[in-house]
Amino acid sequence: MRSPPPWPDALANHSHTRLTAERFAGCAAADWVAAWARDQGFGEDILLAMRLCVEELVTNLVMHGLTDRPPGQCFGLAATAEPGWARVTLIDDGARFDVSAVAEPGRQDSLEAARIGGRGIRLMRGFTERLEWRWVDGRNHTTLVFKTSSAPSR
Amino acid sequence: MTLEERDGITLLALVGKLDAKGADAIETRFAASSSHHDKVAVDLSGVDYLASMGIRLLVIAGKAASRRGAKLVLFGANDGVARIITTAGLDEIVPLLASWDAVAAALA
Repeated sequence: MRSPPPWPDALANHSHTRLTAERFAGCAAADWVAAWARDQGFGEDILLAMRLCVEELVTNLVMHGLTDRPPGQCFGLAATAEPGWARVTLIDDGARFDVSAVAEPGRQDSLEAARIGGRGIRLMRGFTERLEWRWVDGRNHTTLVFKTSSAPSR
Repeated sequence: MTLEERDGITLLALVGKLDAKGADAIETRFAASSSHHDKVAVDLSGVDYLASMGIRLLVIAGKAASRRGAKLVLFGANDGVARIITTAGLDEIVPLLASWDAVAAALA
């Protein structure tokens, strides 16, 4: 199996960070994006949406995407803003996974039948304008797209 | 996290961020505190952020309560936390109430 291309990646010209996929990496990633969003002057609702979606995306990677990889894997986050929009991209060497293609879970009818987990993707869909995914040079590039001129409409 | 009895209801008040780290810090104590009472109200007014790992904690407590015939409700969430709860669909399975009066009525 060929090695993935070296870091930094194609998004190195944007605000970016590289973190280790440890147990609470989702919290560290959320803190990074919240600080970036605050620097951009985004409102509290946008900041909440970005923090939440980045935590969910990274937590999903740590819990499911890297289980067959050696410990100490790294992942990258890059953030860009343009008038009215912001995009945050997670780049990782985990299992190939198109989060944008996951089926929407149905309504839960009872507490007894409810799943304990599985709400992260629902939250990401609800707090972004859209999710994008590309497979580039053996890496997942998952992008969260936010509308920043007002709260996401969904 | 604090625990008190009020009007025959066990009131569990959570504070801070219920992200992966925050949920992990209280998981054992929250499960133990919520599992020995018939009427439990979880006060979220001190919670300023909730992620899926925190939601998982509430679902587990709700399911455990349901299995033994007890009732568990949530109340006091701020607008942002309430939006997270409804977007995640948690309110479809665990009641999310606005006030203590609503809690008292639901658990009467």
